[in-house]
This record gives sequence, structure tokens and C-alpha cells, in this order.
Amino acid sequence: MSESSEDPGTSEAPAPALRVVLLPGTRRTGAHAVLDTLTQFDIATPQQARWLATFHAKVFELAGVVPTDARPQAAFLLANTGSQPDLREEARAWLRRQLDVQPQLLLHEPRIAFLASFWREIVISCDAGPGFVGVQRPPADIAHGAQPSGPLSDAGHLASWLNAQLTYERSTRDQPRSFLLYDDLLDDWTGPIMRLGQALDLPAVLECGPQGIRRVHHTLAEQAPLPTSPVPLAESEAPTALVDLCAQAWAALQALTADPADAAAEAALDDVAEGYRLLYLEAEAVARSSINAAREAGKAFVRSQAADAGAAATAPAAPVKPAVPEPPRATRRWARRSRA
Amino acid sequence: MENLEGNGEFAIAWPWEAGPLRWGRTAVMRVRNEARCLPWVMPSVLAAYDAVVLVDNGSDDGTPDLARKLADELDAGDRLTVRDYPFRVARAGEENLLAPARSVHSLTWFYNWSFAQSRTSYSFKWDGDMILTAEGVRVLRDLEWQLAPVHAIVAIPTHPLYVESDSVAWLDDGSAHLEAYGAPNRPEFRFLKAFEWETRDQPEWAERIELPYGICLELKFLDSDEFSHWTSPESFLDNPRAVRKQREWAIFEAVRAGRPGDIKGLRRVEAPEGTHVIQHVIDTNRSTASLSTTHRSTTHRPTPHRSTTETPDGAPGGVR
Repeated sequence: MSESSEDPGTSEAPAPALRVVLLPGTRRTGAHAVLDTLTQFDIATPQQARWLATFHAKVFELAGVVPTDARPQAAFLLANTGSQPDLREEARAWLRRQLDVQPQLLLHEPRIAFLASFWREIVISCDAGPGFVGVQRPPADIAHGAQPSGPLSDAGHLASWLNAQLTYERSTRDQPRSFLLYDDLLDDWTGPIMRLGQALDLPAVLECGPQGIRRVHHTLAEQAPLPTSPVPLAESEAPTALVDLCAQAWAALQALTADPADAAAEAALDDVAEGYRLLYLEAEAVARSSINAAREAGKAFVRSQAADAGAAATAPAAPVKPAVPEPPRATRRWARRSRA
Repeated sequence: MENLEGNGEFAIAWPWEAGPLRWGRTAVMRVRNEARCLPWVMPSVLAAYDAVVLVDNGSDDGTPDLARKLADELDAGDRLTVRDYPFRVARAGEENLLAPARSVHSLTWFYNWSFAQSRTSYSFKWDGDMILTAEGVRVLRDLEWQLAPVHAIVAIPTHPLYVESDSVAWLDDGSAHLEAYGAPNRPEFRFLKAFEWETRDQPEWAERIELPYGICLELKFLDSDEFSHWTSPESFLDNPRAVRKQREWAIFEAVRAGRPGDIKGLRRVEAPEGTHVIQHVIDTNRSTASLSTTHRSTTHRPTPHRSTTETPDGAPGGVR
């Protein structure tokens, strides 16, 4: 008989350690491979799956930030919005409900890349331990998989990728975290996932049995590999300065897959972040006319909306429009029409 | 910049005129007789900031030496700079109004001189009684990188913690004072003279971030005179810009008279045996959404996305 079974105080099992794994990234980044792997173990995704995306969409809209935002100040804007007490309490209440049901939880949503600091505090305030995962693919491959958006389209995609990577890496320092290469996962997932389990102290991974291991093998084997870019990063049409920064970031991010606290890699990423900030500042200065034109177009749009609302209010037979703000999608459609 | 007294030793040499500033954030503490608070204050301020400038204004309780000792114990002695400012500084209220801004005796000069000692790109006003929770330290550390692409004012809500004994305190959950504590170390963000105290200038183009409620506490010891940096109680009791100070006065009066229930939002905190109540609050207090909106105050414009009944108030200047 074991010592613990003789102890009358252990008749009730101790509460399991609460863990929340946070995983950003879209399908193009390979995040789904980690999602599919971890969920084969006893790590559950939230019961209210849509809530997370809806909540993030609300926070981003309040902050005036889009998921592919390439502005270096995107994290600042979101930090300010994320300080709002009602948003924090809403997130905390939701997470508590999830943890009541599932002590090891996986939150996967692309916008987590910009909200890691926010979620860190929410998780800690629920007496759970946060763990951050980053799945890495070459930037050229990710840009290649994105929707083309006109001339020099790669530049925008690479800038979005770089900004999200820099933000997520910087905001998860000093926290339990693990970076994985998508290709490594496909080659032999056992090493990267064991390192992830150790770094995040995940019992579901560390104590998993053979059935879970078999399930992961089958799941990954069934997945079609993501397409790679026929054009290497060095030959991208994007500005050379941006390409160079992406190459430096990619090298440092790969180093972090071996050691998530690699000081030299973190320092290199700090240098990239500073270089990117200056590059973006220059680009904004060069594109000042486009920025001003967009601002004027926005003002004209608001004026036309107000005029429409005024006309509707004075016309007795007109149906009353609900006072709902114009959704961002409609704004974008209008912008496209105005360009045409 | 020369002062009215022609005292060259305390002329102001603006740090940005000496060349580019090192990236980072400095907490600038102007203190007098804060030895009682420092053991609670120094660990969090040294954990949250890259550098700390402590300007002592006539302490006789060993404040500067204690600050050095605590920093050394935390292996952070190289990040602490201690300066002495030997002049009597006007108290908040009428004395401030009468003191010329360019006199070494004015709060404005005292602040500008103190902040000119920092050598980093951002500087933060930090009172000698302000402590951070663990969450607060992390949030402040996030700013190290979040502020890099912007020139922003950093507003921090603070909550008074009235310490009655080693085991009992009163946390004012019902009020939060939102003040712009941090700003870029640039000429556009110098201190200006206001009526009762000083105020930090801020250009229209400055961005602004407000940190979460519940992460920063101000220690008030109920057996101390916490109002000595004001010319007199009359300076703030009928003053529409001093709503916060009026509430503090009301809480002192109510708790000392054994009527804490008169104050809405005042919460009694009792620490478990063996733990000091201040440490207990540091360890357990979390960012909150439970604040009443009726007692929030701010020294600067409210952020548009927050609808609170903020009233114009200010941090009384001088040393804490």
C-alpha cells in the first residue's frame, strides 16, 4: 500500500494544476499542426469556441487594429484597449468558466500574437499557468500563401508577418514558451512536442500514454503539407531593407526553437525591431500623401453617413435605421468602390 | 537654464541637449523622510524600471542611505542614482502659487531639475509611497518595448492603501486616481507651473495609454501626517481641483474616529498571521473591474473610450 493511500487526508484528489496554452497563427503558419497534435492529448479547446474570436475582434476594433496590422505601434494600441476593466473582467469570467471544466486548456486564435501580454495577466489572475507556443515557417512561404493584393504585395505580407513575430516574441519573454518549426513537426513531431511539454510543464503531454501518441502520428500523417514558395526570400520583390530584416528575424526565430530563452537571438530580434520601427517611419513619411488621402476619404464617408442619417430622420415614411456603427467590412467595400 | 537665485549648481541641464538618450524608462522619485515606505517601494520600482533617480529633499530619517542599501541588496545598486536637493520647496497650495517657477524653491523647478537627472528616453514620476503588485511590475515592464514606436503619455491609476497596523489596512476600492505619470524625455514634456502644484506639459500629438486599475497602490500610514506637503488643509478642502485629497482627508477622519463604514468603497484587509498587511495586498491584489465610477479622478484629459465621471484633480506636488 502506498504511503498516500494510508493518509485519510487524501481521500479527495488534489486539484489539478491549471494550464492555459496560447497558440497564435493562421493556417498558413502551420499552427493547425500543433493544434491538432495537442488536442489528441487531454488538452481541450474552449467549449464556446466562437467566443474567443468574437472577443478578439471586439478588442481589435476598439483599438483600431487589424489582425494583419504591420504598424509597430499595434501592440501599444491594443495594450491601451486591453487595460479597460470591463474587457479584462469579461475575459477573466469566460476563462474561469472554461477552466472549471477543463484544467488544461488550449486557446488558439491568430490575434493572440498581439494579445499575449493581455492573456498572460488574465490567465495568472485565474490562478492558472500560461504557456506560449509559436509555430515557425519561412516568411517567404507564409507570404506566398497569402492573397495577392496588388503590386509589391509581398511587402505588405512580409511586414505583417514580421510585426506579429516581433510582437509575440517580445511579449512572451520570461514566460514559459516553446517555438517549433512546422517542418520539424512533420519530420518527427515527438522531439518538438516533448520539448513543448517540458517548457510549458504540461501533464497531458508529459504523462500521455501510447494511445495519444498513436493518434498524433495518424493525425499528422493525414495532413497535406503546406505549400512552399518557389521564390526564396532573397529574391522577393519586397524592398531590400524589409527582406533583410525578415531574414534576420527568421534566423533568430529558428535559434529560439532550440532554446526559447536564447539571449543572442533575443538581442538580434531587438535590433530587428528597432530597424523595422525606423523603416516603417520612413515608409510612412514617403507615403504621407496616401495617408492624407485616405484620411480625407474617411472624413467624406463619415459626412455622407451623417447626411444619410439626417435625411432618414426627417423623412416621415422612411424606415428607421438602427444606430449600429458601420462594420469594418463595409468600410473596406466602400473604400474599394471609391478607388474604382 | 538658470534659476532666479543664480545658483549654477542647480541650474537645469536638459538631458536631451547632451545628445541622444539611452532607450529605457527611469522612475524619478522626489522624497523626504520615506524610510518607512522604501522597503516596500524599492523592490517593485527597481523591478519595473530600467533606472531609478531618487532626489532627496531634506530627509532626516536616513532615506538616501536606506535606498542605496536596499538597491544593493537587490543587486541593483548600479541602476539607482541618488541626488540631494537642499532647498526648502514650496508646499502645494498657496505657497506654490506664490513661488516663481524659476526659483529653486518652486515645485516646478524642483521637478524639472529632478527629471533632468534621468538619462533615458522615458521618465516617470514616482512617489515615495507608490508600490506595484506583481501584475503591476509585469505591466510596467511590458512598456519597455510597447512604448518604442510611440511618444506616449502613460497614465496609471493608483489606489490608496491606508495602513492601520502591521496586520490591518484599508484599501480604497471606491476611488482611483488616474494620473499621467510617464512621458517621453523630450522638451515638449517639461513641467509647468499650475495653481496648486506643477503639471507636466503634453503636446496634442502625444499618444496615451492607461494601465489597468488595481496594480498600483499608494501607502498612507494612519498614524502619520500625510498632508504635510500642503500649505494647509484649507488649501484643498474647498478646492474643486483637489477632490482626491478631500477623499483622503475624509477617510483619515472616518477611520480614526472608528467610522470607516461612512466611506463607500473602503475595504478592510486583514493579513494572515506572519504576513505584513502591505505584503499581503501586494501578493493578492489584482486588476479590478469593480471600481465605482463615482470617485475616479484624473489630472489630464480622459481617454475617449472610457466613460467615467472623472473630475479635474491633481497630484499634489512636492515630496511624499
